[in-house]
Amino acid sequence: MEAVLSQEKHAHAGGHAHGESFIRHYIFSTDHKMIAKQFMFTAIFFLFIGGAFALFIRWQLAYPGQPIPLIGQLLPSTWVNAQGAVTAEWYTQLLTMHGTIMIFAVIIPLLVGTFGNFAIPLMIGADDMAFPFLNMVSFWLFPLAGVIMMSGFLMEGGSAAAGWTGYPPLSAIASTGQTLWIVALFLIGFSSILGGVNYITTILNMRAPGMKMFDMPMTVWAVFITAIIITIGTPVLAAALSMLFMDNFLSTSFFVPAHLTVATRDMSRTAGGGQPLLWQHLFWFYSHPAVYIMILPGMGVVSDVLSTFSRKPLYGYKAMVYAIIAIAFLGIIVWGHHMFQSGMNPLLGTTFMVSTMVIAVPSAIKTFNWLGTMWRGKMEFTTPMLNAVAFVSMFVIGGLSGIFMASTPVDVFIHDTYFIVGHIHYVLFGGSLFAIFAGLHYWFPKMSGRMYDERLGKLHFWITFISFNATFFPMHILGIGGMMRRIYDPTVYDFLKPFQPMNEFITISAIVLGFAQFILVYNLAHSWFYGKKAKRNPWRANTLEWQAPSPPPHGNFDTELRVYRGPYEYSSPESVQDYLPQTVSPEELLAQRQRHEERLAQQEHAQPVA
Amino acid sequence: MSTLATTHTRFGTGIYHGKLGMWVFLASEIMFFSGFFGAFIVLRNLNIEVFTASAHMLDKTVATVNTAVLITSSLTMALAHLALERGEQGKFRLFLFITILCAFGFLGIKSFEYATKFGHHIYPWTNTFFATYFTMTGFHALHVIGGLIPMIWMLGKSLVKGYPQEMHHRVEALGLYWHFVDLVWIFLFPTLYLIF
Amino acid sequence: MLDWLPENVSIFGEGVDHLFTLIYYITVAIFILVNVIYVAFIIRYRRKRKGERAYHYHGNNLLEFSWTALPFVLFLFLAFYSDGIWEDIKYSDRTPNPDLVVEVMGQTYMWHFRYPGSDGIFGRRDAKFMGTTNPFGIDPDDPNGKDDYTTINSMTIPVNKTVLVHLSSMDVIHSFFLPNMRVKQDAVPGQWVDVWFNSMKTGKYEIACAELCGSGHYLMRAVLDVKSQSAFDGWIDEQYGSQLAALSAPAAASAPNADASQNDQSAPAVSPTH
Ligand code: HEA
Ligand code: HEA
Ligand code: CUA
Ligand SMILES: [Cu+2]
Repeated sequence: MEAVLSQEKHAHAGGHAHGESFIRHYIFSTDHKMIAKQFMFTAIFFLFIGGAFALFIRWQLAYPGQPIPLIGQLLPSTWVNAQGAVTAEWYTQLLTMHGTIMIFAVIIPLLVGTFGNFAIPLMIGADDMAFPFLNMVSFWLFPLAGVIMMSGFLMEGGSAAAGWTGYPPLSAIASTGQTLWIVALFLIGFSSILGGVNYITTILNMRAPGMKMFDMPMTVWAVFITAIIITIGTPVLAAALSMLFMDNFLSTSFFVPAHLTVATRDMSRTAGGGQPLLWQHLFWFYSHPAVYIMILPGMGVVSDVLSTFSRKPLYGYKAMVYAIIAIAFLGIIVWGHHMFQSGMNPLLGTTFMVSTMVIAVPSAIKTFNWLGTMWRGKMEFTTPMLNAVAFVSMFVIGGLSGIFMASTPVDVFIHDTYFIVGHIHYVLFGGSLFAIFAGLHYWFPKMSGRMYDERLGKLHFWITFISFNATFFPMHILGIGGMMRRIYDPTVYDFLKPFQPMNEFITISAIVLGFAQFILVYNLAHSWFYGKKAKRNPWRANTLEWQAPSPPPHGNFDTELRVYRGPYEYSSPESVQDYLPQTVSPEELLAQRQRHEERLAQQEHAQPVA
Repeated sequence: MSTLATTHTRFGTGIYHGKLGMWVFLASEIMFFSGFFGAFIVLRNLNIEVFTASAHMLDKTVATVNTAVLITSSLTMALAHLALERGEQGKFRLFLFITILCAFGFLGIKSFEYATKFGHHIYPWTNTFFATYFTMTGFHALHVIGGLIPMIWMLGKSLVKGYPQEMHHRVEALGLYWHFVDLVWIFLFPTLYLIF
Repeated sequence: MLDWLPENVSIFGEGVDHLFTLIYYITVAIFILVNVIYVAFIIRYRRKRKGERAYHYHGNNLLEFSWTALPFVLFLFLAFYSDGIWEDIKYSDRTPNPDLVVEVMGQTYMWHFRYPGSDGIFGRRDAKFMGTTNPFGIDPDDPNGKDDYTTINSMTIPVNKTVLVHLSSMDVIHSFFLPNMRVKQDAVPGQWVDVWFNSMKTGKYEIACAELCGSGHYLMRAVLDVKSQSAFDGWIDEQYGSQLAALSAPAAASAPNADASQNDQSAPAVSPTH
């Protein structure tokens, strides 16, 4: 027991609300809610950086070689040419950094860093994470890595430019920027692993009394499984990055075969014998599961939001949990579907195709269960609900386009075309980012203690939803037309010239889409200070976080918690309200019903029937 | 809120946070080294002659000694934990000290090995075998250093004001880590030095 | 939407397009099905009055089972169906006997093509001879290699003949993409991969690089010229003519390491590194 006490001391030393310094509270905070907010602000900042890169990319694709309007002349001459147009070198850096930032500095920090940190302790009724200090380290590694990665733009030769997938030999013979990219990803990976360890321990150890694993909300389940994928997958990426670093920095030959003839670099020191495909296997062994890292927490959030605003229990709760586990498990054995055309043995192509097709099954289960949740519900279309509803539909489009690519012969044609780019954005923007929008609005009252502006929220949703589809749906058509990804100027090819109007249309939509995000930021920022004060449980939801004050103080809860039931007892006939929080004890429930009946009886007395 | 019991005393699995977290972390460490071992297998099959010839240039005797040193340190680490659990501060200090000594010994011998290689103009970029050799043993050595730092801190603390007995679970977690580092070496040693 | 596909002129391309169409119809059908239900629910099951209650229901195992099993069957069918076509395209034991073998080498940012020459035999190559002037690493001492000829960024093949491409790269990974033939295959340095195709129609088609290989990736374009058999024969004779002329010229003989057969019009001047 003494050991326990000393741990307690340790936990409480982690920054109390009283009399703690500004730095301790806002910067090196160990409080999970503050860390969640830090992740959120940093990641939204990066969303705008990565998004701005995308807009530069789009400008070049729609109007190749034309100066960037307004700011073209202001950019440094290493980025743009004399007229202020994007150069081919910068374009390649932009697309690499766009992909890397969006994945590693936006989606993962928002889903795992923000929601994981904010929701886990609150939803399982704990006062903080198991390792608050590690949590802080995990956050600070992230902006550090961000700075290291971005500083590539200042180096000679520019930032990393081998795509977010960093395939060697290209990435092994590249500039300083590439080395920084490797170091930054390694740090981000380390941050993820620390977070993963923390989440798993917290969820396994610190659930409120009475809360069984199958009483956990889907968000917690999803983050839990995600954390397992992170701890298993990320270290493999770390190992691969270490080897790539050696190749890049010390001219070893893990991924560099013998007798390369490279004009830009002296290869004489490299003694050959490496295997380029080895990187791809190691990279995708992590990065395919990583795409599920980027969707599972989103699915969790959406499940919670859909159930809450349909006022209905989540359809097939257990099936939903098993589906997540199945996705995670199968996700580890399908990485080869990114390598169908890579020159690996075509027999492997066959096996990976079968496993990839099978992984669509648990996704189907999830989709149908979401439909089931809405069936005979009483839906309220708040902003989180709208975003969640959009998520399901957009994810289905993204998932179904995945089926084309999973079919090896079709992938021969569409591999590395804009069809893939369309798929990426439907699952990552239409999926993950819409789930993030849903979650941000859903927990905003709890995070800030105030309500966001519902009208602005809806406005943001509708503009985003429409311009999102206008931006990314036509990309499938470009892909069917054969337009390769990662090309600086499609008009070089005769067969792509007819697609130029479509490229212009996409770009215009993308600009609308980008600027619509300012509505989101304005709404959240303004409401944070001036919004209507939020009640404890504005959504009339069942899960534990709504039992805490808004915003929760340090230590989260002001009552002792005990969990009596699952998280989705909406519209239960047992309850007098249309919801039944997890913490209401059966005795209390009975008392509530009696009070209710008495009140009804009194009313009958007061107004006798005519 | 201050009247509420802290949830940090909850141990749903019956295992301390530190120990549970360490297990999870070690699982991820296993995957980290698996990445290297996987690469090793692929690259070896691609360059069997190079690998065989190069592996014969490694010093088996030195490595065997080093293996013994590391295994000893694992044993003393376990003894140190046991001693602390029983409240025997003196013994705890002694065993921890031996562990630290062994760790330094291991690193010393490893640096000697590296130095000899460099003396013979063998570097990571010499060939693919040595690239794997230096990377794998290098990362292992980093892990040794990663274990050394908390050990030295614990020893220092225990010399100054006695290491709190109730913190023995921290020593236990560190011990787990240390056994893992040892275990990795036990895989590395035959893979790099012996199988060829 | 599939009208946007570039014209297909190869035999297995028909299989690919057929499968593409099939999956297209299946997925569109699923999409419509799911979204029609979805929108119907959204309209039908709104909350109209405060305090209204939803149907308290947790799920149905039979339904759960059927919407697991049905997609499973469907996807397995798709996988096996796809695999037949995949095997035809990529499995080496299914490759038809080639009428023409061409070696293709990717280099940032151009494509090199090598033909076996009049003897129909490729000269020995060895990676140690590889260099910017000798992209294939042709052994200068092998007599079979003397008449091999190479072109840059232009590939010529006869119509209705099976062409086997032997593919590799000398620096980074490229990808050999023939949109009209439904061919795409990465060219990996240090490794040779075979791809085959045939063209059912004469004409000029584009060859692209589909794998990011540097900032000039978008420029890595070549032309595929599909000629009738007789035109192809004529072209070959012409090439051999200039080839032989170049060979008999004393200058060529005195440069041992230089590629003996740089004869393409569009070839940019490449300066040797050593
Ligand atoms: C959140 C991210 C995310 C998610 C969830 C997915 C999900 C899927 N992805 Fe995707 N994928 C990416 C992110 C993601 N992907 C990225 C970023 C890349 C590009 C990487 C790069 O090269 O840069 C990529 C690339 C990629 C490729 C490689 C393409 C190529 O480069 O050639 C393939 C190939 O198989 C693929 C397949 C799939 C499949 C089958 C799914 C499945 O999980 C989808 C399952 C879902 C459904 C199928 C829809 C719902 C189901 C139904 C409505 C039921 C249907 C009912 C019946 C059939 C009866 N993806
Ligand atoms: C979650 C991930 C995510 C998100 C949200 C996005 C968002 C967007 N993406 Fe991205 N994308 C990827 C992940 C993502 N992308 C990945 C992984 C790749 C592959 C990379 C690779 O090939 O390696 C890719 C590649 C990619 C390409 C292909 C590039 C190529 O192959 O050559 C394109 C092209 O159109 C594109 C466009 C866009 C657009 C228009 C948006 C829009 O949604 C962006 C909206 C804009 C904003 C949210 C910011 C708005 C900011 C401002 C308005 C500020 C303006 C200020 C100034 C201009 C100074 N993306
Ligand atoms: Cu070669 Cu892209
Ligand atoms: Cu994948």
